[in-house]
Amino acid sequence: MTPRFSGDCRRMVGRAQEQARRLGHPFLGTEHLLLAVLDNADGYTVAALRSCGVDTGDVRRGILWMIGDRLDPEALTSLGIDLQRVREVTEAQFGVGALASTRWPTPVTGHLPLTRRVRAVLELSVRAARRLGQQRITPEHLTLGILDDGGGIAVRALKDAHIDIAELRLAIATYLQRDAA
Amino acid sequence: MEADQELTEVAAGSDPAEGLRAVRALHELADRLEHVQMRNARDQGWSWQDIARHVGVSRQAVHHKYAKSNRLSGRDNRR
Repeated sequence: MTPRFSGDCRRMVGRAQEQARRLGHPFLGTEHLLLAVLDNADGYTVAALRSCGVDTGDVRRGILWMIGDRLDPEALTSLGIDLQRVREVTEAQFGVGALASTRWPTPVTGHLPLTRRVRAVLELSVRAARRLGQQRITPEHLTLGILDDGGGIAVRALKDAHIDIAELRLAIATYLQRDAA
Repeated sequence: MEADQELTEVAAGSDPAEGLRAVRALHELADRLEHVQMRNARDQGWSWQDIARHVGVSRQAVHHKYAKSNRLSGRDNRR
């Protein structure tokens, strides 16, 4: 039987879409998937990264830097500006992504197309579940898919944060097997 | 008051790295907000002349910076 995507996993992809729209990107890439995964503080991926001594904020900043998003919440906080608040107010008036970088020519709405790599990542997350003998594809399988693919902005950001990809993969696979047992 | 104090300490502080980072962040945010309001003005039918008067620069300057943007020119206004 082919493993099926769990509700959590679908919601995670939905949140990744939201991340992409907020950045004004007209596509869904691995970077948006990873941003959504990192935002999920209760998820095992975040726990695994923390147990490896990684600051998930570093990974997030690395992604935003790589994709050219120069908004810097920390620096703005040092000036007494709450970027989150500015974003909320602007988006309430002008829609999600209103504060996005102006590099992308048109505002994006609706369902964003997946990059080829994200389609590969989804397929790899199905394979990861099958390999582990599991029927439900969870957000953690999604992380395994990202790691198994081994490319894209997401993995580059993880490597830049000095994360041992093999170690992280093992930690997540072990967690998933323990969880299923 | 607290924010003012932080501003003095960081943007006008003695550490150039911190100060420049803060200034760059401020530039970026101002740029984004400018774009939002430019688009808002164009959506509401303001002319480049109207906008220029409120921004305090010449019509040519505003036009030069923004007219090429599809987001603002009205040619591809898909909202």
